[in-house]
Amino acid sequence: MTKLLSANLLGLRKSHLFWGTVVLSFGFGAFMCVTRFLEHLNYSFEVSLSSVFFGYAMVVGVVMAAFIPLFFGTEYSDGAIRNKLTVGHSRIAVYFANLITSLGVAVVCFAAYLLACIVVGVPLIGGLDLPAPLTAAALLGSLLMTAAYCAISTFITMNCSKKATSAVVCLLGVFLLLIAAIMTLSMLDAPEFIQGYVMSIDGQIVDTKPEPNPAYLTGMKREVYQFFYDLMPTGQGIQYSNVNFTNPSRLMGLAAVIFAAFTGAGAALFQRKDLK
Amino acid sequence: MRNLLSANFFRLRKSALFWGVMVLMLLLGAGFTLQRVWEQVAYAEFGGLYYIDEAFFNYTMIIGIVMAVFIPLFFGTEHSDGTIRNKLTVGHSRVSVYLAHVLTAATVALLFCLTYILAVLSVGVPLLNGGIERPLPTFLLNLLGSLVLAAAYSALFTLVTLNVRQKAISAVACILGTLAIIFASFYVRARLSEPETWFNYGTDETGEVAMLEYPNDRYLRGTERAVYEFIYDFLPMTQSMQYYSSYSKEHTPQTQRMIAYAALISTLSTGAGIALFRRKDLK
Repeated sequence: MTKLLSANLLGLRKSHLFWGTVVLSFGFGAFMCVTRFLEHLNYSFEVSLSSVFFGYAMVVGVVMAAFIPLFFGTEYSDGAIRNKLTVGHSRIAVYFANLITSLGVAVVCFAAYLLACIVVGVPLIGGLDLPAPLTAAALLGSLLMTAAYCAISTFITMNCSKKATSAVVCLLGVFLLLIAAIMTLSMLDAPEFIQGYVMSIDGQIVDTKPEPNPAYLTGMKREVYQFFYDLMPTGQGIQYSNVNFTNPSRLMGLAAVIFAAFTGAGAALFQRKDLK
Repeated sequence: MRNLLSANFFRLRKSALFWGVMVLMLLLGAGFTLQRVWEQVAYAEFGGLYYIDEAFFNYTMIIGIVMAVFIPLFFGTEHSDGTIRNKLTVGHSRVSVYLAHVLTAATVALLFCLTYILAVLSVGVPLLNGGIERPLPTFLLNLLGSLVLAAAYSALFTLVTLNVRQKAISAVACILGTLAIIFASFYVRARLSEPETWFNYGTDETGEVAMLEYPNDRYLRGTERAVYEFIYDFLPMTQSMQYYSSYSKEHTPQTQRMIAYAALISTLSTGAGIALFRRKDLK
């Protein structure tokens, strides 16, 4: 396992894709901070580092969905996986070495984004104004969510011998999950009551009696929608990036379940895969 | 050129990916229309009219991402299998190879759109009570515009696919490029939709609490607004949004402008693609 990890790390050190991804992550962090600063400058908006600090949680899924198939997919096309098995490594060890390497890459990219927020953001828009426990929960939770993304993309990449197909499946999967999360959020966010209209009579403002909103989700239905919103890594990404979550332990638990389920299923499938 | 086109269409006929996407477009067209039919039945007591247009132009939002996946997967194989080299070896010019791919890609995009439209009409004409909402000339102009837009998407993705040797990289570049344009388009639309003023409770000159009007600092004015409006008409994804949201039905000159921009995108990307492909080292 150590040798497999060393080989992966050596591959990473020489990979333009890896360094490009790290630089882009840093650049994205700097861009987000500068955008906020310009909003403050042009429109006098109140801005703080908290509004951008966890923004990477929204994009890390897309980044890893592109990186993992492109980097590890080459192992199929070049026959590197076959070589690793031929020299005596077990399939499980190969799978876990790739998973651990992808987790390492995700953490490095996330760190590059946070570094940009600190180096560029703090001088421009000030420091974090969040309570320490909330910051710690968001940081730990978004790392677990990132691990879940890595597990999903590794599952697809290691079990699909065509690099282009696995890249398309990973990217489209994240895109569809993002649309599903946005749609679920809009349904959960529907107001409980709707105001018919506001009338002004003789300068007096009259509000009509609020009516119950038929689109408002209640009871079991609301629970189910909330569960799927919390389960989807994209739903978690929206919550962490806005630092707007009520139950961090539930989000972390669900991310751990996704990580374990995809890793277990991925390793089991890879054991039986015909590597030709 | 005819031989090249025949070869491409022969491959298309045998491609599971092509037929898979055709079935997907059929299902999407039927699905979006049945959703409107369901609403018509569910809200029958209110007696509203449900138009075919409301499902008809949805394909403009889908075709970009569909072609971003299809073109690299289908044409990318030509690099990896050495088919392009073979075509050049037997005497075809690089320009004719490129143009044959652009024409095949545009035809595929049109077939996907027409399949979607066929499904909408098959379900919508007998089941929806409103028929077509837009006046026929406007409807046809929108239809023409959306098909020119589909061809523009094809030309853009062919440019990337034929100039990037690795299929996986061209697929990732096309999909990520489309996603980036989608997010940029939503941003542009959000900025253009900012109200000029906004209302909030405040105290007026007499000291009474009243609803007061405040200027919105984020409202775009002058040159800045003109630039955003140009981008809104120019970018393929913002054009998709306009056809989809039926905004273009009341803005015929704008639709004509969008058609011209889409044709310009096709021409420029094909020109640039040919120039790059002529110099490309095919190893």
